[in-house]
Amino acid sequence: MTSAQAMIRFDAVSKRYVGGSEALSGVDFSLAGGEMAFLTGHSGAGKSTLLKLLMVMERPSLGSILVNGHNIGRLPARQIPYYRRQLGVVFQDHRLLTDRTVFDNIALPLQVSGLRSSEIAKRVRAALSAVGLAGFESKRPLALSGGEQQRVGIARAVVHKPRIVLADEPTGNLDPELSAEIMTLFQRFQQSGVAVMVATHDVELIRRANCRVLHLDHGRLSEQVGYE
Amino acid sequence: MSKRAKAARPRSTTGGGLRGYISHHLSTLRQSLGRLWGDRLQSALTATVVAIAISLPAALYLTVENIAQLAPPLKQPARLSVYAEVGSSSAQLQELRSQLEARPEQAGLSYTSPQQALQELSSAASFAGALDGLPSNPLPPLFELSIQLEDLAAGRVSPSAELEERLEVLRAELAALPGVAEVELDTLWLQRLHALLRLARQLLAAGALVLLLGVVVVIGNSVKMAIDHRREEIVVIKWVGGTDAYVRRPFLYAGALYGLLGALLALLALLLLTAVINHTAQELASLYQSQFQLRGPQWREALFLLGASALLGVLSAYLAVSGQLRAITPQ
Repeated sequence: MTSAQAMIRFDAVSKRYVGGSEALSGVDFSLAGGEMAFLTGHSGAGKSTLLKLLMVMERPSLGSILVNGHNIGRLPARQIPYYRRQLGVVFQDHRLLTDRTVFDNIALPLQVSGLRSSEIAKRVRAALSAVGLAGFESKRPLALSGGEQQRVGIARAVVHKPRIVLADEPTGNLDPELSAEIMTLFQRFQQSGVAVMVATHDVELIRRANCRVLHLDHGRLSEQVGYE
Repeated sequence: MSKRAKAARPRSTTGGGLRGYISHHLSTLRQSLGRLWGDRLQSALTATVVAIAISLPAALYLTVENIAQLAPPLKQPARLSVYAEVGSSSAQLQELRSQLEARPEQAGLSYTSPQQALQELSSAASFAGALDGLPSNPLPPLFELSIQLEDLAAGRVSPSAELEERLEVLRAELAALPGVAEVELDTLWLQRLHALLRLARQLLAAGALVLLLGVVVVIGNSVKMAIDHRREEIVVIKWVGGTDAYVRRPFLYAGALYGLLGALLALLALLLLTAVINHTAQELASLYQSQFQLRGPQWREALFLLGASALLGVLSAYLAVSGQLRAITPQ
């Protein structure tokens, strides 16, 4: 694959924290639009560091990270919000705002880019029905089950049609059946051309999905296809 | 815009532009109002403290302006009232008049006879009865002498000690003229009053500055508390690509609303205060035959107060948010 096609491309990326420990060392990989990969590894292996680099919450110590051909390691702080609008992020603990309705939670990524409210309403409803929660607009997050909350989180991550979806343990607290549902959603985004990266411990999930697996071990990356 | 910056922006979004921007501002305002109402007690407390901090200098300002309104404008040249002895003959008065006219400082002379003075006095209702009982006219003939001193003409508001001295010398000279009972210096007190008013205004400005600093701290603190409450929301907004300006906006609105509310309360208090005092003031004024009307806050001043206070609120909120915003980064 050439770099021009890659949505995400890591070139010899290392990250050393001020404390001295090296969280990532010499990480190389690329991920194209329409591709999905799992990111695995023990806790502390560098998964969250890799995700933080992609969200520009941290900067690489060495190497370059190209997203859609642009080096985000050198992105000016002013541009970070605009860059993040190309991402959709799903968290294990949902990170929903409990004092707002489901609608308002999902609308947030659209509101920050200043869309007209009629357009926002249209897209929020579309995102809700995509995750199978049509009609849930006016509910409060705390009134929903764990699986429903996670799907609201996913709707929020994709409502603005991002090019890249990052998910951090998206099925962590869910039973296998719900996990499978969530994975089906991710596969659907993948098929529509989005680059999807899912950090997970869930062995069963990886076995069934049969796609690329990026494995981190003490900051070093190795790659497999499928689960062995 | 650089190539990279352009690429970092999302694909062109539909429906943005000015209308989206305005509707976003309106909805932010609506939300800020909602939050203000949702946390009524805290909002009322903040607005009250702001109102107190604002109404103190505002009340002092009104006091000073009312006194200034009482004080007739400082006129040049200065004036001396020269009272002749009661019962002076017309020849004596004629002599005095020509002596006064000959003074080099003289810039105008007018005469009020005892009869004229008595008529003026009896036309004032409260004295009419009392004057009828007098056996003879007790009022002295009065010459009012305008004097032009070089230093006074220069328009100095606060008279120098030297000037006071010269006026005092002049007063003594005139008092020594034959047939003169008393000489009063009319303008010195006025000059002193104007100097005092100027001092009061300066003190007022300094005091107001200190109190306004207090407003900045109070509003800033309330906004800081609001930020703490909404830390999680700010983190999420930053994650989904909200700019600092977007994060800041609702807090700026909150600051403006605190300022506006505080100023409204202060105005209300001032209006109430003026209404209460005005009654007493007019009773007092009627005793002195004065048309004095206690002057409350005017439209122009009220609008200025509201606008300035809202602006101060925005400024306070901006300072508070900018300090906090950097501290809150997604982790």
